[in-house]
Parts: sequence; structure tokens; C-alpha cells
Amino acid sequence: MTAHGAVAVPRSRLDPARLGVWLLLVTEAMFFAGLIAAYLVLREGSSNFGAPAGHLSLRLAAVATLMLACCSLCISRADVALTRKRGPRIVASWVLRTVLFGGLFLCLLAVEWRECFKAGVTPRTNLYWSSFFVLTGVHGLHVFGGVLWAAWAWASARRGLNPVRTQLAALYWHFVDVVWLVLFTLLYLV
Amino acid sequence: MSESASKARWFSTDHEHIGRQYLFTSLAMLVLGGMMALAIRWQLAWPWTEMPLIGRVLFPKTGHVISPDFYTVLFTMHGTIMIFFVIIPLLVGAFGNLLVPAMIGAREMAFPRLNMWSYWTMIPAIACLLAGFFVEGGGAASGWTGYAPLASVTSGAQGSGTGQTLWLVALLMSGVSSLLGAITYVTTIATHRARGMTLMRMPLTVWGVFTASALQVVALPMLTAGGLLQLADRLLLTGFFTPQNLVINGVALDAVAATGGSPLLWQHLFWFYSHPAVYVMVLPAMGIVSDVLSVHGRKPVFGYKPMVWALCAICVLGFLVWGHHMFVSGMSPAAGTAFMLSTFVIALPSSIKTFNWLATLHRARIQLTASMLFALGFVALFIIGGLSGLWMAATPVDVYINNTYVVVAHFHFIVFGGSVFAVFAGLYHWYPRFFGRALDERLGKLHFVGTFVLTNCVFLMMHQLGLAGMLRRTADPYVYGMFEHLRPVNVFITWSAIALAAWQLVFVVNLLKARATPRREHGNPWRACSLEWRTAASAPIVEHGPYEYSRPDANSDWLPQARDDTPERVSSRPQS
Repeated sequence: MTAHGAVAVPRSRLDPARLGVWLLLVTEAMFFAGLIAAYLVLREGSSNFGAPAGHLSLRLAAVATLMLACCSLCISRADVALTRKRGPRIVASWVLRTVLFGGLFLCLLAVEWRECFKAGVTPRTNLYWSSFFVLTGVHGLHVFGGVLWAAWAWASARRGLNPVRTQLAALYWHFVDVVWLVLFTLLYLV
Repeated sequence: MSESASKARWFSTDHEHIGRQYLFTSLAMLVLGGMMALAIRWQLAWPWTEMPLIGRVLFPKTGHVISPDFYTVLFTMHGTIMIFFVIIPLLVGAFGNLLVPAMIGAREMAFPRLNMWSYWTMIPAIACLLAGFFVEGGGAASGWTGYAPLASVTSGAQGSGTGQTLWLVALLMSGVSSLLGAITYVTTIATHRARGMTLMRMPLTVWGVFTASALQVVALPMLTAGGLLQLADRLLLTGFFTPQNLVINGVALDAVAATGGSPLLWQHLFWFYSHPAVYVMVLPAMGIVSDVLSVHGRKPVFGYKPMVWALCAICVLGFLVWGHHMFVSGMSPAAGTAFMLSTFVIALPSSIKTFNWLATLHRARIQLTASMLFALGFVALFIIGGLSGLWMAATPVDVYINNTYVVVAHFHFIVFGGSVFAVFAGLYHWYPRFFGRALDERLGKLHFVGTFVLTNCVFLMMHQLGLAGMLRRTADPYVYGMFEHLRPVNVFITWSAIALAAWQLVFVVNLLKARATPRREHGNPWRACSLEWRTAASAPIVEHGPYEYSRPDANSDWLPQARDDTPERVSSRPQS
């Protein structure tokens, strides 16, 4: 500290960027909480909720879930590599794998949607499908955002710059994956 | 000016610049929303008569009178504009940017670019909202609450088409704008405070903006979620809020869209944010008023810590009371009782604040400046609005007065008598700090007297209308013969409203007059302790609380918060 050492409280050690991302995650959590609450209220309360009626592919969704799990795993490997001060190549390769697995997830989601449309199922079929398309669509957009974020982190990570960007992308990816686990459970399993 | 310089001016990341952008944009919207209020008042006093002069220009197709459909658009737009594009951006956007960094001794916001985008997402939102007036079918006409199913189907009424969709998009964008701002303020306050600026040394204005922003971060996404579902209902024909067996204009909706949804669900999602939004509109106002009362009373705020805890308590309890908007919606009566009790409880921190304001004033050396007068006006009107709120929170009372002008009177006392008065108090107080020009005190006092008297003429009388049963949102109350005797009261209110609007010209003259004077250094005209008035250029090191007035152990009647800014260095007040 400087010459004025006798100050009561030192400057906050909170990192603004990290706090900002946490606040973003709070808003996102509340946003999904609203959507999921609406889904649950309608499912329990509506006399006309409808059902997936065999148009869902559980196998496809399970593979997609695996893809997202890989995203989380890879980005946290990148995070760990950063903490252990590994070289930029190792960090960047883990981040790049996150981008790829995220892209694969989006492809699988697209296949699922196309199969539904082929079978004549649309958001206006019934409330279940209304919820399905809105929830998976909004979540898909978040995965797309995560892919962009990871690609952005990759661009700096491969030159060994801006490690914070990778760490914050990791935070966001874990959140997106947890949301998917909830959605997968609610829409496919129970 | 070169192109890059003008770009830098429009898309500046400087928080004071953004604050001024917010200030003038929302003041312009205030004028627009006020005009709509006058049109509403015109219709209620003299329904279906031609407005002199402007009626011909505005309503060429309807025989120069306001049509019933347009009346509905008017009150929808008036509410939406005043809440989302005037009060919230004024208190949080303008005062947040102009004051928060300066008050906590930060050079800049934590996220300057995010802060800039917060303003620049509000602009397209305003454009969307106003575009609604010019599309086929006219603007949105489902009230500012956008209740389903009227707002969630595209064929319910005039204006339920493109106009309603544009309204919804505007609402969603203004939400994003608020969220970007809120994240910026919370982070800045948490991480960018000057050395020695502990949380319990922050001025209450900062606490007000902080708690309001925290509320927005947590509650606003709920409205975004609801809005998104409603947008899906409108564009994708999903059925989240559309009940079964709904027939509109002879068309059974079950055949064309998913149905079976719950209109009540929209109300829950909507009020989960829009009730806390009321606190977003009042918490910073409470902070501003506390600061002004203390500076112009030359006395510390009575019970600073309880004031802080009361703000925090209102912030937390604000989440638990949204259902009091829905007592007669068909919600479970048991839930109604719970919401009634939680609403009673929130009166506790609010009265802590009120009593502490009164105790601050007790034996204070009150300087009746324009700023102080508006702050005193706030306290008086907030007590009226607050007490009527407590009274109507009782479910049995609400069942009787629900949807009447009592409700209109109540929230205008809070939002106009409260928030807008606090904005004026803040502007008179901080104008020299914001613009290097002082507002004229005599004009300011004149502005206050007229505004205070006329505010009561307009809104106090509305309680009477409501108790007599006059309903909100009715284009012509006199179709019901039993309301015929209310016509003179309505005429009186309308004349008062016109006078109130005209009286604001005093303020406009004051602004123009200040603009005509040259910019100069005003120093610390009110001899205030807090950091935003510092004249020293060095980084502040905070040693005191924000309200060190009339300390018996000090040489002068105030101690600045930071050590290197001594009272002797600061010029005395320029005006009498």
C-alpha cells in the first residue's frame, strides 16, 4: 500500500469481471426459473397439457446430454491447465474441444427438431410441445452463446493471453449444462 | 466536429455522459407521457368532445375526438412510458450514472461499455413502443400490465396485432437495458469504492441505487421469461396463457393454436417483477431524499444504519408481496391472505424510513431551498400514498376498491408525489454538480409551490372518485348514470392537471435560464460532505461517514468524507 497506509478498509478484492459474470448467471438462473416454473405450473394445473406421444428420441437426447457433459469437462480441463500454468497449446486445445462438443450438441438439437417437424409436431400442437420448443430453443441459444464465448476465449488462449476469459467461459458453460440437466429431466424423463 | 468525435459523443462510455443521455431522454419521455395523461384527463372531463386546436390534427379520422380504442391505447402507453421509460431510467439510469461513481469515489464504472449499451438498448425499445402508434390497428391496448389472454392473442381487439407485439418487444428490450445497467451498478458499488469507503459510509442514494439494482438483477428476468412466453403465444401460437374454449370474434382458438394455458400464470410472472419495479422506482428516491434532507437540514440522517437496513428489508420483502395485485384475480384466497400479511410487514421498514426522516428534520437547521422543499414534499406525499397502500393491502378493502380510481390515486401519490418529487429534489440539489450551472432558487421555489398544490388537487381528489365507485380504464364513466354527479370533480381534476402540466414550464424556464449562464466551477455550494462535491483532484481517501453535519467537535459545521478536501477550501453558497 502507499503512504496512506492507515486506512480502515483495504480495497475490495472482488474481481469485477468475475462478479459481473456471477450476476449475469443470477439473471439467467431467474430467467430459466421463470420458464421452468411456468412449465411445471401448466403441467400440473392444465387439463389440456398434452404429452410427447412418442415423438421424442430419448437416445438422441442422451447423446446430446453426453456432449454437454464433455463441454463442461473440457472447459474445466482448460481451467485446471491454466491453474497449473500449462502452455497455451494445451489450454487452447481443451477450449477448442469445448467449442466442438457444443457445436455437436446444437446439431443433435437440430436433428431432434427436424424429426419433430417431419412428424407434424409443432409448437402449436399442445402445451407440452409449446414448452418443449420454447425451452429447448432458448437453451439452444444459450449453448450457441457459449460456443461463441468459448471460440472467443480460444482466440486469446492459443496466444497465451487473457486467461480470465477462459475461466469465465468455464463458469458460464457449467451453468448452461446444469440447466440442460434440469430440462432433460423434466422434458424427457419424468 | 469530426465524424469520430461525434461518434464518441453519441456512443460515449463516460458514465456522466451516459447519465446526461438518460436524463434528457427520460425527461423528453416524461413530456410525452404527460401529454398522454392530459389527453386521458380531457376525455374523462369532457368525453367525446373535440380537443381545441390539436384535436383536428391528432384525430382527423374520428371526427376530431378521441375514439374509445385510442383511449385504451392512451392509458396503456401512458403507463408503460412513465414506468419503463421515465421513472426507472431517471432514477436508476440518470442518477445512478451521474452520482454513484462520484459518490463512492470511483473514476469510472466497472463495465463502461456495458453501461453504454444499457442506454443504447433503451433507444430501440422506445422506437419500437412509439412505432406501435403508426401500425395497422394502432398501438397496444391491453393496459400496461398486458394481461392475458387479451394481450396474448392477436385478434382480441384493435391494437392486439402488430401494435401489441411491438409493445412486448419494447418491454423485453427495456428489460435487457435495465439488466445491463443493474449489473454495472452492483459490480461498480461492490468493487470500485474508494479507499476507506466502507459499505456503511456510503451515502443513502448509493444504497438506494444498489438495492434497486439488486432487485432488478433477481426479479426482472422473471418478466423477461413471461414476456418471451407471451411473445411465443403471439407469434408461434403456443398456448401458455391462452385458456381452453376461448372464442374470439366467432373463431374458436382451440382449432388454430395450442390452448389450455393459464392467464393467471402471466399475472404471477408479470407482477413478480413489476411489483419489485415499484421499489426500483422508490428506493433510489428514498436515498436522494435522505441525502437532501440531511444536507439542507445541516444534520446527520437520523439512524443511518436502520435506514440502510430498512432499504435492504424493503428490497428483500419486495419479492414477497406481488400477489397483492391479484386479490380478485381468482388466485387462491389463502395465498391472498399470505400476500396481505407480507404487504403489511413491508410497511414496517417503510415507516422506519419515514420516522427517521421526521427525526432528521427534528431540530434541524432547515434551509428551505427548492431542493429541500421538494424533499419535504416527497415525505408528505409518500406518507399519504404509503398509508393508502397499507389500507388497500387488506384484502376485504381491496375487493371493494379494486379497479377503481382509489388505486390510481394511490400509485400516483407514490410515483408522481414520491419518485418525481425526489427527481426534482435531486435535480435542484445536484444541478451545479452535473452541469456546472446552478438552477435559480426563486424559480425553483415557485415551481415547488405550484407543483405541490396542484399535485394534491389532481390526485387527492381521485380517492373520492374511487370511493364513489368510478372505475379505471373506462373511456366514458358517465354511461353509468350513477357516476353523472362525479362530472364536476373530473372537470376540476382535469383543469388541475392542465395547470400542473403548464406549471412545469417554470422548471423548463429555469433549465433554459441556467443554460444561458456561462458554465463555471461551483465548488460545493451546499457544503455537503459526500464525495461527489470534492474539489481536490487526488484520489479520495475516505475517513468519515457521509453525513457529518453540525458535529460539536469540528471547527466548521461539516466534515468532508475525504481528508484532503478541507471546508476552508470550498467557496460558500452562491445563492441566497
